[in-house]
Amino acid sequence: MSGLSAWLIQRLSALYLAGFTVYALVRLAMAESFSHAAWSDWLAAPLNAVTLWLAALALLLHAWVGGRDVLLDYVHPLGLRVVMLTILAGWLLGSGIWFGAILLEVM
Amino acid sequence: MSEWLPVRFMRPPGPRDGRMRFSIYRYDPESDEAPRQQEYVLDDLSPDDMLLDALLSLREIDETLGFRRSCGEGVCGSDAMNINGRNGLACITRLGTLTDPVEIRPLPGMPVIRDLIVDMDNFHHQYQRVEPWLQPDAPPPDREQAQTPEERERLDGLTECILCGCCSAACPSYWWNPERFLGPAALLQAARFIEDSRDTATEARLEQLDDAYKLFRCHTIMNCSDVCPKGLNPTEAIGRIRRRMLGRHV
Repeated sequence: MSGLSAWLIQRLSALYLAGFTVYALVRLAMAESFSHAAWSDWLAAPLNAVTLWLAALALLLHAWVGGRDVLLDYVHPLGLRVVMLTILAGWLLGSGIWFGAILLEVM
Repeated sequence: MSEWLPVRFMRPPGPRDGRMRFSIYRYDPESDEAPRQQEYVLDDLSPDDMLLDALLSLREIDETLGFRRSCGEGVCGSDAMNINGRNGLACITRLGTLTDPVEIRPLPGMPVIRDLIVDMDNFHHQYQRVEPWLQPDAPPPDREQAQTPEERERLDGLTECILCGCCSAACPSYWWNPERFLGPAALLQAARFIEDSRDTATEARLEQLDDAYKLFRCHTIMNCSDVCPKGLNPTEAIGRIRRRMLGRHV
């Protein structure tokens, strides 16, 4: 990932997540029920589902660029850096798959 | 009550009755096991004296004290050092602005050659890497190559850098990755040639900077702009480069 594309992804994902967080908080404050059924109903609307999937993607990308930045800044031995970047990528990918599985189950 | 107040609020900065104390980093890697702070006291000082004047007086007392200096006017950038925790030029720092005792250290993040003299080879190498010279695609004209006032205005704030190193030595990203991150001084110079209407290597310059390290280790903490003794803004220059990069793709 080039310097500019990582930088751009970090900023765009941050903007999306900031907007989504406000929307999610307002939506939760207005929710009448927190049951599994209500959650499932909410996700049945395509717009809600797409919004949430995009938020998950934005969060993963944002975490990847941020975590990668920390490792590039502070971890200097090449081998250790590669191992840690791989662990970070694996962890984020795993988290993404887990999140997707939960969401598909609810949907 | 007074012990709760920071020293700077208890009394004004500068010499008191002409007297000021100095705590100066001393280290000769060839003979000393470890660095130490050496204490000095000078009398008959005025708040309008510059720190360089005091250092020159101290060297009359102790000729082993090592520091660089040249013009003494804030133009050559030789006497950059860390003064009470902040990088600056000794020759344009008034004693009246400094709290007593004045703690002087070499520029942080650079290898010490002796006392306040640091090895700036890597700093200059990073400057070279941005190819800091005009690269026109046509041979230079016989006469001067005119710019419009607007074209010249875009270079304001970019050409005045004296390469003292205060900014790069205040940048944690440069401390962590001095070989790979170019540092604010070199990036300000990169911006200076990217913005120059007479230079036609802009695309290649932007391409060269677009990796994870050379420019994008900058996290915009603005230490560089805060300490620049010439009042320049390398953070803003780095932002201009980013915008130019973005303009190529979007």
